[in-house]
Amino acid sequence: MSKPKAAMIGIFAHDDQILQAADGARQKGWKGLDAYTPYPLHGLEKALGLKHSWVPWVTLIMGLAGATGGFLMQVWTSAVDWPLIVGGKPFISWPAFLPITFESGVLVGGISNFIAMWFACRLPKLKPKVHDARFTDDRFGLIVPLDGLDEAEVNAYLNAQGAEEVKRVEI
Amino acid sequence: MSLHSATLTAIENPGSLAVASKWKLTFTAFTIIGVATFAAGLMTDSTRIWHDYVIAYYIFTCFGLGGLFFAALHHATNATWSVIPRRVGEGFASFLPVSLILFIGVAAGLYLEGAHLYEWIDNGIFKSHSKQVWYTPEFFIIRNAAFLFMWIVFYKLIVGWSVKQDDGTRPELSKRLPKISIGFLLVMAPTFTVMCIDLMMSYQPHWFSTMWGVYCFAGLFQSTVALMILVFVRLKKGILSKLATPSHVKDLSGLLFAFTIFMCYVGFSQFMLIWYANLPEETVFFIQRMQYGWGILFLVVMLFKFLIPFFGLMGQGQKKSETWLKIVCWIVLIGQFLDFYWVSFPTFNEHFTMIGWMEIGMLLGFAGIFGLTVARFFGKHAVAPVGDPKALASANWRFWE
Repeated sequence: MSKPKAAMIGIFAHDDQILQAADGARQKGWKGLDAYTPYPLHGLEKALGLKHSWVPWVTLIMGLAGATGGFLMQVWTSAVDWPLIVGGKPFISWPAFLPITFESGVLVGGISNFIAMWFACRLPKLKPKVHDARFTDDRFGLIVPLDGLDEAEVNAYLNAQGAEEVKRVEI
Repeated sequence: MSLHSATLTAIENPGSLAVASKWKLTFTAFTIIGVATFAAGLMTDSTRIWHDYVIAYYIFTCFGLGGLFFAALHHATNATWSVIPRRVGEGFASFLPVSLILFIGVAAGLYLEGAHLYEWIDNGIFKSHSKQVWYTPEFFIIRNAAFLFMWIVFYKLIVGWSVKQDDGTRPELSKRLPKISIGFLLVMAPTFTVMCIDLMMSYQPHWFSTMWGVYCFAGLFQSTVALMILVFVRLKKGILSKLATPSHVKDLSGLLFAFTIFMCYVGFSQFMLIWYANLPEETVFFIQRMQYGWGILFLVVMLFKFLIPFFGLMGQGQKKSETWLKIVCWIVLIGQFLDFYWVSFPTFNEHFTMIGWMEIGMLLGFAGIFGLTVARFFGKHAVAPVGDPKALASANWRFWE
């Protein structure tokens, strides 16, 4: 992990407060915002100014590749490597191949998605930093990295947005 | 997240829709075109025009039933997001009583066109006694009219109660609506199955597919949601601008995407089982529809009902773009027509027949009647169920923005 950075963390009791606070911070031009919430909060990605994840592209491409691979594998085994007539049908009987094509697309797409998620989330984290245990229960945390920002200003902003507690942490 | 756009604190009744006279004129013109086409068709090629009548009748009855299904599904699942768009489906359902009247046309076709329309009218073609009993014109008319009547009763209850809530005085009806809706869903499954078998599968009376009911249902809901999106997007620009949100549109398109996959799943299941087993009495349906040029249409249906909407609605951005969504919805609706054109026409045309003025005129005619009916419904009732206890939550529904 890179060098620890100083950041301010504001702890909120309500989800709409953190949404407002994150939205306002983004509009001030503060970068690198992050949040901890006990459950998925709709609209938070937008409020934090997060970009679209690249993970769906991995899933799409690998899913299509898996489907193609599954189809070609069946063509190869049943028509090229060991041609075998089944039920009087032509060698490349594509309707019979479709279920397996679909399944291999889902399998490869799903596994790739899983692996890509680990990369995207930088997992495994052996020593995760726990800023506040209540983020897994009923509190919401907004992280504002301090690079170049005035600590007092961030502090005042988070307090004005209704944070119960604001503290300085290393991220 | 539209944090700075004011979240609604109270729902404002948008009132009923004063349908612009240009729309009413258009729909009236469509109806006149339909009647003229029907009259001209009867004189030139009566077999073809009766088939067109049944196809158009079936597709538009599906919209009516699909709208009621949407409302019932909403109540049965106790959904919140779909309160605002629900009324569009309820508007479609107001076509059901008209559909019962138009069923007279199907009944008339049965007697006037006879074996050219439905081969089974000559009962001697069946060896099985039960099929001889099932396929008599009288029984056909009685059972399908009875189904339509049952759906109308449910329409009067489900939509009637929903409309009664509009003044905000009857919130307790929302507790009764789920029960009646579940009842409707239970009734709809077998009755619609029989109706689509009667209207569409019995073109080929010796052929049968146990997937037929669910195949027709998939097309019904897919096309209904597509039409709902078109109407809802239009209302959202005007009278519903305060209540309808982009999240509603995105969720409706998500539903369209889901039922596009369902459509393909069911269609392919039906095809593959028949193809694999290769029994002559089953394959006859597909053989007739994949030869002499009909195979092209088979591929086009696959493209319009699955491939284009599937890849066209896969991404979030595609579901959010209303312009793109409109294109996809039209493609799905055209696909629904082509599907049943493809089911119906090969029964009396061995070789591929191009879609002509009769098909288009007949579809326009039904579209006109449908449009006038729905416009009349929205002219009488509020365009959103504002009295529903969950209406405010639905109007504030934001999944993204």
